[in-house]
Amino acid sequence: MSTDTTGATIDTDQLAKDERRERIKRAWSRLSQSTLSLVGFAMIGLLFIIAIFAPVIAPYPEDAAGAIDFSRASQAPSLEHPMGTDTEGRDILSRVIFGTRIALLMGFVVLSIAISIGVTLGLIAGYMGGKTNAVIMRITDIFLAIPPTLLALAVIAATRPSLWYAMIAIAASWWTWYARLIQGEVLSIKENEFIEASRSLGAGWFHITFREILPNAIGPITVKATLDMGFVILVGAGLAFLGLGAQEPTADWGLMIATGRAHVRTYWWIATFPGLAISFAVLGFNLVGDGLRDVLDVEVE
Amino acid sequence: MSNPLLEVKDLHVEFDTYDGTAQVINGIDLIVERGETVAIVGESGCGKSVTVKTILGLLPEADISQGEILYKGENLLELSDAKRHARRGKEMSMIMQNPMSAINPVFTVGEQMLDVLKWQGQHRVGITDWVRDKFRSEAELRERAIDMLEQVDISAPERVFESYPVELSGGMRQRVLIAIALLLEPDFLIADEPGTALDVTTEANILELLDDIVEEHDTSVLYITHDLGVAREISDQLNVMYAGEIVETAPTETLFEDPQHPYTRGLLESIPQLSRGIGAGIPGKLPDYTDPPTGCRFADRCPHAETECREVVPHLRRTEPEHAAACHLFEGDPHLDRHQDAVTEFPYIGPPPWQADTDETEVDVR
Amino acid sequence: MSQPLHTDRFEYAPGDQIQDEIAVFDDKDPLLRVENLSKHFPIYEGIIKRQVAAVRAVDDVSFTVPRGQTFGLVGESGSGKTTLGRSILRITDPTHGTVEVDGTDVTSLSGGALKKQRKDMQMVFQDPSSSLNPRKTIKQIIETPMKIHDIGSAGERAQRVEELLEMVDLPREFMYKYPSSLSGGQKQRVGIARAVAVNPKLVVLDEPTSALDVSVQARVIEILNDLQKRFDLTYIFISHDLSLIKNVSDRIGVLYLGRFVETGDVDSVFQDPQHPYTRALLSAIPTVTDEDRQYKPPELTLEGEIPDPREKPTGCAFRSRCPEAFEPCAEEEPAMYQTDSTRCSRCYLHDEAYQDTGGSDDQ
Repeated sequence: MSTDTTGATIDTDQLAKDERRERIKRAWSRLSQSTLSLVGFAMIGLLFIIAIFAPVIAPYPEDAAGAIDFSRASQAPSLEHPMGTDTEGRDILSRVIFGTRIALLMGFVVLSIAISIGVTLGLIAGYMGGKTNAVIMRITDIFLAIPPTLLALAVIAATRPSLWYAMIAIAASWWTWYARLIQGEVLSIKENEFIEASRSLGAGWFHITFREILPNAIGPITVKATLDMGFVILVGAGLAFLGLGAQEPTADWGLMIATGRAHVRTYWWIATFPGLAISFAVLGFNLVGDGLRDVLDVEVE
Repeated sequence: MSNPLLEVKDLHVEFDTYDGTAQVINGIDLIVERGETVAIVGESGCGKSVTVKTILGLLPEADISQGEILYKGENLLELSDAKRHARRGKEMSMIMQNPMSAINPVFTVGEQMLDVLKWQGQHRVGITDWVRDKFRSEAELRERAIDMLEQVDISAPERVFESYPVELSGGMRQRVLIAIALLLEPDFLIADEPGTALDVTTEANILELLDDIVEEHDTSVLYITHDLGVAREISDQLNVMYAGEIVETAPTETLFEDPQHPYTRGLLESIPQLSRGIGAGIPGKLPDYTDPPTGCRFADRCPHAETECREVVPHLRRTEPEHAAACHLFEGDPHLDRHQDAVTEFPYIGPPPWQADTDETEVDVR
Repeated sequence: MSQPLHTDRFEYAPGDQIQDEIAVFDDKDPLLRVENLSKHFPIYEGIIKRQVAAVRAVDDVSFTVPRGQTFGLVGESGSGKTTLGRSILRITDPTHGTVEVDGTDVTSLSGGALKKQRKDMQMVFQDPSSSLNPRKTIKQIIETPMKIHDIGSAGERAQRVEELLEMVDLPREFMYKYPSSLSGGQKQRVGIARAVAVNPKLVVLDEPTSALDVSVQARVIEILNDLQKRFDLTYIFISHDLSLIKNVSDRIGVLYLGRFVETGDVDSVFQDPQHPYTRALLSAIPTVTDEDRQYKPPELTLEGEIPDPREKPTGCAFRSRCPEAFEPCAEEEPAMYQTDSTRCSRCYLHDEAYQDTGGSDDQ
């Protein structure tokens, strides 16, 4: 019926490429109409570059690892130390730069765990419905009812304070939001005729949930995950501030604020610059999240 | 002819989209005489809903770049929002397409009707008015509402008056919608496919009812539909709309006797009929509104299109005394005054092949 | 066409009462044989969810369809036509009755055997915007049934998708597009390509064109006709549009509240409808030509609307709206009467016992 196979495949590959390029172009043109989300993208891009090249950018990389030099303690911002030094003589700029790594790591690890648990449970609950749904959603409600900080306290009380336990503790409460989000999405996606269509084609539940439903929920998941990046960083900093997260001498923004807290009146720069870094990251992710929401909404129509 | 109730002149409506400016309505002219039912027929996306919503002023995001909407001689587009608001309901009202979603489900039919009677046309309701209203007797208004429900052939108006919309069937809700639209006895009624969401037997009843009521109240109606069969039964004057333009206009009977524009003919051919098979349909799809063709907007789908059609816009021309078509297959004086100078330069590619080949037209007479 | 289309008055031919409408069309080797099919939806009440009643959405329906033919199912909303279509395909499981597709009893299958059987019976859905997954490319959508039934290698499947696109008259360039960039008619053609991708024998078309414009509808119908001829497909065409059904079907069944009220060869039913409901439906169609007006029976307006299926009238379900209703209608539901060799109708007016009383002018 058709032309020779090889010719056709090369041709269709080209078609696929053209279509993809076209779609990326359209998505970009929509995104670029919002100045704020472009600013957000620039901010996040900057964060990633800083995180990746931290050892190169930081003027005193050894300070981030905790090199102490009391002779330089508590110096005000200067050309040599643009953000000043802390009470132990470490360059704050270098520590803020390395803190970016911790913050992003925190966000990625927590959200990866939370999304994989939450999305799977949400998909199953929404698709199966009935008793399965009731059981999963009640468990979710129970986890939701516990404040994340309290849960973290419990986890850390059972173990010991560390960055990794803090991440597990946050993820343990964070997945509930994804379970709820996805369950709701599934309930509405399920109403579409294409679900019934694939059932009539003979598709099983695995195909329907992961191949048909999940791709339609990727939009909301992406938007929420982007917005959540900022909040996870915020909560992680909060735990570190309480001494429940990263421990000295790790260059963690929350921890740096905690150590600078006692000296805010005298050495304001110790707590201020890490604080600004947190605000910068949260704002960046929020702007991108909002921008993505607009783009993805339009795509789905 | 001299003093029509509604006259739309050279209306252009544009929307801003991601892909640029969409010229959704491209120079429309309409006349609705007093007591007359005028139909706009077109397929989805042709701009018929946008046209009527623009007349009512229900599209705040639309950019009306050009044109006039004269209602009783007054240009609606120049009125303030408050003044336009005051005219809605009292002067002109609309029956929506979907009776399931056009009534608020949390209020009873009666509450919604009383609200219309009390507040319609008031731009804002002051506290004193509102308080005074609480002490006013509703008996008289209630009587008016129930009387109106009776007029739309609802057999138990008192019961329906107390009902919530969910308790009513689709046909009953459509009757209620008609009753609400006619409550303040508007002179001008816009009906947006009021039968489409209903079953055929119910639709037939609704159309008949609308016909009777309109006659009784001497209301002028602008009726929009995608169904030529429905338009034939209900209207006096018919406008066929394609891609934001009116391509043919004539008294309904005349148009069915001698459909002229290739789009109208294609549409008629496509309708499945009892007496013969389904026609070929019209290949292709609506043009992109953000990048419309320079010449005739139908040219790409037209079986008779020549190169001239893609270059020169075919303005409406009077092919017979009361019949106008926007197509180069026909000769005639410009139908609209504003095209007086333009048409003389138009190419003529006729006569239409269906007239040349055979005397018998495919779509029969009587 | 030799005799006049409609007489001015109702004239019902006396007929034999038959127990089972299937007797009329006892085809030798039908592709589809539906016997006494029912679908009841339970109504629960109270906190303990006790079943108090059932909605008989489809009630004891029987018919056969010969291979390569089209059976038209007509009815208004709430008539049960969609539920009937879905029960035949076992998208919903019927409550009673049997469905045989090409000799296989579909109602008794389960698990792997049912999945295998699904290859032979496909569906085209009403709303093409909702029946195609917006997150998949056209190629992925058309490929899905082949993947599910594990047919062919990736390359063969891609080749097949190209063939299918050609069959439904869509350009190859559409393979990597998403449904949102297609028009309604194009989307529906993708839906059709998906349905015929695995060479089914039976296709249920659930109002395949009611979401489309008429100018587009014609082309979709043409494609369906081509495919039917080419692959000897058997169709069940569900629609509320009588003019359309007239043009696409070989036989039709008119459904009212889950029951056939009239069934027979399409030409005889349309030329001289026997049941008052069929007549009412025909007379309500808006027409564009005068020839069509002749087709319509004398004006017959129905009172009210189709009743809530939960509150079905006793006796004949149609009697609450029937202009011809008389005493026996309230007592017991009429049987199917065979009015001639090609059709039957469920109305007491065909019973010889009521020939004198029936057909009175009013009420």
